[in-house]
Amino acid sequence: MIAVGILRASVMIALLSPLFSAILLSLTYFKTSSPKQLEKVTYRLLRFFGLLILSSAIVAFFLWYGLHLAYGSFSLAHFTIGPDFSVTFRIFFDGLSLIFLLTSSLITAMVIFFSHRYLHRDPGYRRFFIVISLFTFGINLIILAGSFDLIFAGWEIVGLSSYLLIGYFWHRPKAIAAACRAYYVYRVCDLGLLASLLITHFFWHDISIFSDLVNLNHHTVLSEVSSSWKWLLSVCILLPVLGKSAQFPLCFWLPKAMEGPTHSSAIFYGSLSIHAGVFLLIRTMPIWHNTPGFDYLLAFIGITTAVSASIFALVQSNIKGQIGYASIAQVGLMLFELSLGWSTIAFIHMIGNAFLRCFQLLVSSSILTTHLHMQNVIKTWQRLKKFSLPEMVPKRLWPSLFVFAINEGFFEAILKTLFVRPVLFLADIFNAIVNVKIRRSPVIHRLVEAPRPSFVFFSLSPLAIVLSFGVLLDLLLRQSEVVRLFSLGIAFMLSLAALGEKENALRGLKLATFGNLFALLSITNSKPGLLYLIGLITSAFVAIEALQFIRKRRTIPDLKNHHGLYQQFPLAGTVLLLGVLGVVSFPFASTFYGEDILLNLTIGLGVHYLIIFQFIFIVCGLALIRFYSLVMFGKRNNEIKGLDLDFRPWQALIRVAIFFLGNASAFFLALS
Amino acid sequence: MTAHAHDEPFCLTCEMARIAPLLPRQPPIKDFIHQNILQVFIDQPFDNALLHAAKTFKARPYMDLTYYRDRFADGAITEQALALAVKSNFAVEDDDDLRVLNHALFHYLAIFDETTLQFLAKQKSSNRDRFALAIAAANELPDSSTKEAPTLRHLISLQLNTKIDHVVNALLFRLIGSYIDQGVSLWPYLDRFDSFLSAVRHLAAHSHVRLAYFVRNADFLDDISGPYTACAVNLLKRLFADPALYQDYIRESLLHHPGWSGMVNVISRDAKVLPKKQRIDLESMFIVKTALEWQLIKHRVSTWKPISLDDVAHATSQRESDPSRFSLIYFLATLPRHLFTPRTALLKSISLVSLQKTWAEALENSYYGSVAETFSARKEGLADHRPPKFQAIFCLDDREFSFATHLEKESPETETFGFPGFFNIDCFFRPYNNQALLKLCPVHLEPKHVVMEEIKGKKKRREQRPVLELASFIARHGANSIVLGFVSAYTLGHLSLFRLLLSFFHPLKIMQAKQLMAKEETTSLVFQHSDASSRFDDLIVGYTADELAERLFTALRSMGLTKDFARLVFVFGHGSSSVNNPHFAAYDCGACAGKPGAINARVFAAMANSQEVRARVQEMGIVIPHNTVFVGGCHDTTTDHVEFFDLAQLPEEILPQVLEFSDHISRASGTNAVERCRAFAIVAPSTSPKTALLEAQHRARALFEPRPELGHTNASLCFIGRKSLIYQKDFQRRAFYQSYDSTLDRDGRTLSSILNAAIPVCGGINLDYYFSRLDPAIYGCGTKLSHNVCSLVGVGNGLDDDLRTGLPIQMTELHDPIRLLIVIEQDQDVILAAIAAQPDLTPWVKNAWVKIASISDQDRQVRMLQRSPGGR
Repeated sequence: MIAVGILRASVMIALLSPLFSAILLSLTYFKTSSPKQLEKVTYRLLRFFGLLILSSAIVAFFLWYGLHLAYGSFSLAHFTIGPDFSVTFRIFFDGLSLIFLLTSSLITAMVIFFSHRYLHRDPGYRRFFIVISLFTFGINLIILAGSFDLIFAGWEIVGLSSYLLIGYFWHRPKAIAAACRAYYVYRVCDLGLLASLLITHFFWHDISIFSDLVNLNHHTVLSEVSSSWKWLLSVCILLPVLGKSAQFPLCFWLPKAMEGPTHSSAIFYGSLSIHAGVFLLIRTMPIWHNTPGFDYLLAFIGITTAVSASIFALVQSNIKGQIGYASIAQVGLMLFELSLGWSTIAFIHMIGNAFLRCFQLLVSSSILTTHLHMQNVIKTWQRLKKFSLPEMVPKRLWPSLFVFAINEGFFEAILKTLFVRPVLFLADIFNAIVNVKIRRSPVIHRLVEAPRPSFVFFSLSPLAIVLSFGVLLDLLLRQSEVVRLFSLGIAFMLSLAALGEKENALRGLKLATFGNLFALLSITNSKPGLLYLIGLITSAFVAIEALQFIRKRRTIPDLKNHHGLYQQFPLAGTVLLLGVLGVVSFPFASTFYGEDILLNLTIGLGVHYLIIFQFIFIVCGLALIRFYSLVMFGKRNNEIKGLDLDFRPWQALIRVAIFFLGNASAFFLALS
Repeated sequence: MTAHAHDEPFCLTCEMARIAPLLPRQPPIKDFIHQNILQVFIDQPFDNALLHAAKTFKARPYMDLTYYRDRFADGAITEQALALAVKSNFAVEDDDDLRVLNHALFHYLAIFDETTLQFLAKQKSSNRDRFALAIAAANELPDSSTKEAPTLRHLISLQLNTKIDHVVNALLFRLIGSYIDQGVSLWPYLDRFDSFLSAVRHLAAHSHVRLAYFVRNADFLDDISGPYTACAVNLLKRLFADPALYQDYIRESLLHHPGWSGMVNVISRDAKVLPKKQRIDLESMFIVKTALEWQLIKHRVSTWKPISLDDVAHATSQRESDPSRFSLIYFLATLPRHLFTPRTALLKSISLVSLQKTWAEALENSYYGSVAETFSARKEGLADHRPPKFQAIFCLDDREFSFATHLEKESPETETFGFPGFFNIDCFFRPYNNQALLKLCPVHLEPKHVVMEEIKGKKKRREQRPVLELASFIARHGANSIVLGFVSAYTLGHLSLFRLLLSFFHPLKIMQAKQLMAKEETTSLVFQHSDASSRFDDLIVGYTADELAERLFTALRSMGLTKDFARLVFVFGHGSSSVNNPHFAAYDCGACAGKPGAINARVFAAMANSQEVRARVQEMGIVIPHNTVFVGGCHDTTTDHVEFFDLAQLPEEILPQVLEFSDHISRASGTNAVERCRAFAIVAPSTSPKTALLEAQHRARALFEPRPELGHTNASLCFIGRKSLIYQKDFQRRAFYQSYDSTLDRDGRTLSSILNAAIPVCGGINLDYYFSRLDPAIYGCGTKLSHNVCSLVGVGNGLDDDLRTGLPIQMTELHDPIRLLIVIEQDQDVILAAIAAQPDLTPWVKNAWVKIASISDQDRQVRMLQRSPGGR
């Protein structure tokens, strides 16, 4: 019994200590010290936590091994919100997760240790460690999650840290473009995970899905579900896998994401993040494996990815791109192995590939010396190359094959034409509509452009003003179907208008906020809605206030170019990011849980609500991250040093406190 | 084409020839060579060149003001030097002017944004009137704002409503990268074509899919078929209504990705820079690029209107407010009240650049001043051990000079010399196991000889442990095909964890294991021949005895080693060893074109031991005693390890002495490592020699160490003269040293040949660091952390990036941008004559790209060169 207690404790330590280290590190922002001192403190802190994570993972693994446990599961917290909604956060672990936990702890601990030297004197030293701690927390959450709720939270955290580390060198436009591309793909695909979360809630209410799937005869659990729902659920699970593991047809973003420091690329795109999708599939195997015909889809995607990615890898003339595609091809093979039901084989494959690609990326710079010193070996190797893929294709097709490979199969171009262009087209139209109205009315114009944050919530968009008198009243009191649909339409339009905003970041931020607000009000006027509403208002307040603060000190001429204001406003930028993340429902804000609940409510209203609602969330999220990247990241300006325009640390601290207090009070109000 | 605005008809090749000098000339990265990055501007005075280059490349001309202010706080800039610099840069009339300038130097802030200015003005209500006054005062000054013409690419992007570069560049870089790939690509399909253009034409002609989603293959093929100029004119005509714009556009287009353009230019000049020769030139690159752009334009807009001069003029007329005015207003408003009187003349001259220039001058002069002090300080003279017990010749490299200084401290009976690390052996070298030729002499020399390496005895152990090596190769770089990747994920994949852990905890163990595996193979060098018939690739194999004697004689004479030979004379080349570092060549010997100088040292020792050569040298006037033995060696600047060559061929009775000397060397390595480690912030200041050596070795072997060593950081002095002037003086690892005896060289001819190597090599190193430090993103290659090796020829960031040339931040971050000061122990007239004798050197000195000073043994005063060569 004590052993089980220790096992649980060490699992919890492995899970939570990276979060603590991220928080502690962030606190060092409030004590300015010399870079040398800072590096020392940061490294000591991280070394401690790295060792802690690693040792607790080792302890957990051996205890589990010694105890001959099949699996372990315990609940962390239980919430009941409203009459028929409750959430339980559960931890679940078995051999698979403990081995993967060990792998992830090993790799991150190693990277933490050598980053001390590797990142020495880099301006982003502390930032890197904060983000990597956040990432470790996210990936451990995915590994140890007992239900889709926690997996989704982990998934989002991994996605955000991925975005931040691809854009680590934030003054390079190419790096920002790659970061945004990755984030967009993540965001769109993550909603598949959100949907599967909802579907599981819908069918099984409050169960710890993974332990029950393993524990009970899963046929009894799954038998209640019709096969079309099973298909939907399986596809919803597959979607985030395609995104995070860069599978067909979303292979294009991963190699381009190798813009950050080499070792962060190694962690993310070599070893851990890319395999999170495979892990998710292994975890949910009972669900999709029992969906008739789904295996074929998975096999198709796996094989297509494996073949096409390995063709793309053939023609890459830079080493990181080659490794990236090679890794994607192996993940494709894992998907194929899974479709055959060989989960253990796929798991071994996964761990091996994780170490291999991590190693390859870390030593990728040595390829020059290798080529100079290993001539004999290379000769032998080139003989091996004769058995390569192109030899199986007739020679006259080689030019086509080469062109196909060098364009990465045109996947990105095709997807852009099919999905992105139409949305952007709509966005432009709606944005034009909203903006024309703003310009026509001087009163409203003055309100929207109002400089003071106290006006913020009255200075919405003209539509919001109009609606706030009639429609809002109706929504709050009666929730009549017509008004509800109407306001959902407005939310749809506002969020698209936000996406199409090209001039004023503040206006874009407001449009997105109101898009979300209308979407919320169209769904509910009940208490659970408060969780989302208060979170949204607090986050939007923090974000808008920070943006106003910056706008007072620097001109932000448009949203067509990058402005690189992070250079002068690191603290304001961080506060702004916090607010923006709150609006887009990131796991540390109450909006995240509110969104979860709201979507639960929408299922009851009908699938069309669900789809529109999700669409609004996606679009607002994309728009806000786009604004943020455009305003804060970009080319470094020549010189402003010595001119301290940024938040004082205490000013930033107050905003952060407001943010978290607001979100906490949302929980308090909603739960009481 | 007839209706040209120019007098001469448009010619693409001529245009390219005009632009090519602006492009970086860095060869493929395995041959990284330190060079003056702004060589193209060498005909302008240094400060003008900085401004000119800053405008051309959009770089910064000087460091940020904060940098200089910090250096002042550190004490690196002295008040005296600053005062002098102010006087030389500004017209100062009275003390108040001086106070204003002083305030400007320390408090001037660059403000680029009107909002920021307004915000600052509003911060205190008492400030309002001061700002009003300041604005009024600033309005008195003439408007200095310059209209910045928009780039043509920007105008095109405006019409397209998208940025044209993103899409086209990615494809272009992939095509070029695949074509010139030297071994990364798993399927080097474009390898088989005889030129880049024919490769692209082949793809366009035979591919069933579009070359890119916006390309119509048939149209594209039409556009790139035919002679260069015709193609280019045909394409440019569609883009621009006015031929006057062609030239600007071509320049803009090539300079938009200077890395790839430069690489293409280097390859087109000399295909030999690549082991696998490829034909590609700027013209074909430009044509393919423009044709792709045209395809994109056609795909995007149906109503394309060629850009005319009017469009450009229209776009130019929109003037932006002048940021330097904001800075001036803010400066005026923050000026202490009693200084605030109208002084238009002075205010006109205060600007960011003028202040930076003043600071830069002060920084340089402070350093030069400290050098002069070091020289004039009296110290113990050279301990008299005539003849000394040992003599050692080192490379003139700053790292080697510090090492030599440590050696002299540890072993007083040793005399050391400095000489360019190729030791007058200008040759190509062909290793026995490699087809490629390595150039082992300063870059600007064109050697005609080749030194071949041969294995002694029979070729046993040709391929040691092929299986292990193959496995290691596959785990590193080979496992990227689908089948090998699959197999290795199950086998090598899990093992690579242990490899990672091992290299993380015990990098040295791996080195030792590798040394055990690869046992020394005994080789000999072919460097002498009796008849000139033996050729290799148009090069003469080896030298005649006469040629060798002449080289030996010149070398010994120019370093003043003509008598008092010790029993043992060591010749040390130097190299560096680091792993996982694409810039490894930048740490090697600059005088050997970025290669280790071991071969040269070996050849030098062998030739000096040859009785035949000695006899001839004796005829010329230098008598090398019969029992003097030369021993070659190589110093590893990263690990501080020293290796001796060909010990087996030495007479046996000399070995105990060699051992004794090797003892001194290892002590010197220790103290040298201690000094080096002080610069590494991670190491505690009080390290013992043993731990310092361990740290150095660790750095050389650690996979994740972006700073294996600090290279030539802060090298800003070159002393040419006798050792006695600098014996046991501390130059803080910043000095190059070339031995030179002015008493043997009254006419300056020896000096002239010394400078011919020293100025391009040392000046090149210094300026490479200077500019890479100045603007790491433009002249340098940015941070090493995200580098990705492309085609084995260069590094970029991530995928589809321009190649980055210059030095990484990790090498230059501690460097102070100070021009090289060459202190020569010789009369100024002789120095001037020596420089004038080498026409290539004149612009370096005349335009102050290096500074020259003289010193004499009597008074030890450093005097800057009074006149410039070439008459003025």
